Amino acid sequence: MRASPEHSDEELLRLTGAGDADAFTALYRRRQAGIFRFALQMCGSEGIAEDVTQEVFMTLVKRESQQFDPSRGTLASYLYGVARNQVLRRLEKERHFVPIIDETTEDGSGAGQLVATHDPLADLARNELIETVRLAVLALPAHYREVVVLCELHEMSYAEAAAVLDCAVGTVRSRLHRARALLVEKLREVRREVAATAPNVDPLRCFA
Amino acid sequence: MNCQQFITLIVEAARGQMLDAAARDGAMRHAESCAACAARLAQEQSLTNALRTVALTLKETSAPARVEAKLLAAFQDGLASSNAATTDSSPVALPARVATQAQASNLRSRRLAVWATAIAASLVLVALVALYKGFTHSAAPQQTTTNGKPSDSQDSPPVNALAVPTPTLATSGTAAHQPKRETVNQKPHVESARGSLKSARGTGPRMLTSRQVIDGGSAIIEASGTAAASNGTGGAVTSNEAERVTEFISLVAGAPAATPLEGGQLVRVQLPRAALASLGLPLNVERENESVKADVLLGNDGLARAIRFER
Repeated sequence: MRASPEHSDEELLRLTGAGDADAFTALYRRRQAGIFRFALQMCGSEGIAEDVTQEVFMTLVKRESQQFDPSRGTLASYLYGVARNQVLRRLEKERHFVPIIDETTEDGSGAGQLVATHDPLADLARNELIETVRLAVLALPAHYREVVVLCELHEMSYAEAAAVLDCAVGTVRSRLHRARALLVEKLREVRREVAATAPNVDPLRCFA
Repeated sequence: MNCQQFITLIVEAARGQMLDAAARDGAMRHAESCAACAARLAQEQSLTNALRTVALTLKETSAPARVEAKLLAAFQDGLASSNAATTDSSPVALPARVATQAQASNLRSRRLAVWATAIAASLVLVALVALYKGFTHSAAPQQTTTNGKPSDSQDSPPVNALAVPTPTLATSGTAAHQPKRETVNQKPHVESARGSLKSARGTGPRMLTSRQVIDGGSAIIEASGTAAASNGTGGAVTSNEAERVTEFISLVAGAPAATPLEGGQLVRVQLPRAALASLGLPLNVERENESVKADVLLGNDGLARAIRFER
């Protein structure tokens, strides 16, 4: 049987276990973007996100996915769970290191995001907002960050997030409330800092 | 709805995820009437919008193509190695079979480890019980009678670990077989296989409740103090009507033939006959599975110094 887009994740996994490379490819292409984004939003590093994505799908190659129990959730939840474990492991390993800011972008954000297309000022404000929120999310403790990433950035329901995190729905809900409160507080602090430093900013440099 | 109830629903209200229409309407009505809650709701909605904007910027982000290439190569390699490892030509059965074999192997090694641990634990337990019995016997009052009659030691069943109290010494060349149990300051000698051991006649057929006399480099067993021990150093094996035993064989590697011993205990144990072969003694293969009784001479430090076997 050949893999096709109509196959469910579980069917593709079964075919993958039987040695069907097409099924593995189809499954990878269907799920890799979400896993990559989740890892990227959790750790803020494309390199780590790439490694995590590779490790997650290597579990399918190594047949470690036989641990997957369909009665406990979907294959997507299982893959997110593996990704989460990988991310937490790497964060724990690298928490002693200080990230190096790329000199080409000065603030560490991607240069492509600063390219103006229509309204430069609006784009700049939007990019600043995105970057501020992104950094605020990254600054959250890991157990709050993961619920924000899953529920807000990946638009998962509480039940889906609970399946990924292997915890109760109520836990997800309470963590999300607390995480949002922390985010509001952080963004308020940023706004205060911006307001306090605004008179010292040289406008010529801003529009250079 | 009051402010407290509103706060519990504010995140769901801001995210537009309130399924209960009545609760949603109540929250909206409260926000219209309460300025603080309305401001809080606006703040939460603003955060929701900001987060959605962040999510949108990464919507098209995906892993680089090289990840897929690496994974596919690894998948093909794994498949090829599975094919090489088995003669089964069914492509569906291959990976599952390899995994099952690995699991079975893991299970086997886990079971072996459990059994090995259980056996080791039981051996340690037996040794501890033997030592404990030895200590309790040595601490107990003297069982031999002073009139030369055997005590009621015959009533004691043949135990696997029977301790003889601290060996009694006799100086070289003396008869040294008065039924005493003191003289712990002198040094007995453990004889090697070349040494001589004389066991005097005892009344307890299988018991060694008597004191032990080691004389002039010879270990002499005197059963229940009823018989006199010869002080000679002659025969390799002492004949005993009740109990025929071999010489003591030194268990201390590299120890001289006669090792001074401050004191110790004689412990009766039961060993598989295969143990005879490990000490270089002849072994009847037909009786290999049977057990043999032996006396182990323990030093005061609890270490085995010598062993002899019942014939």
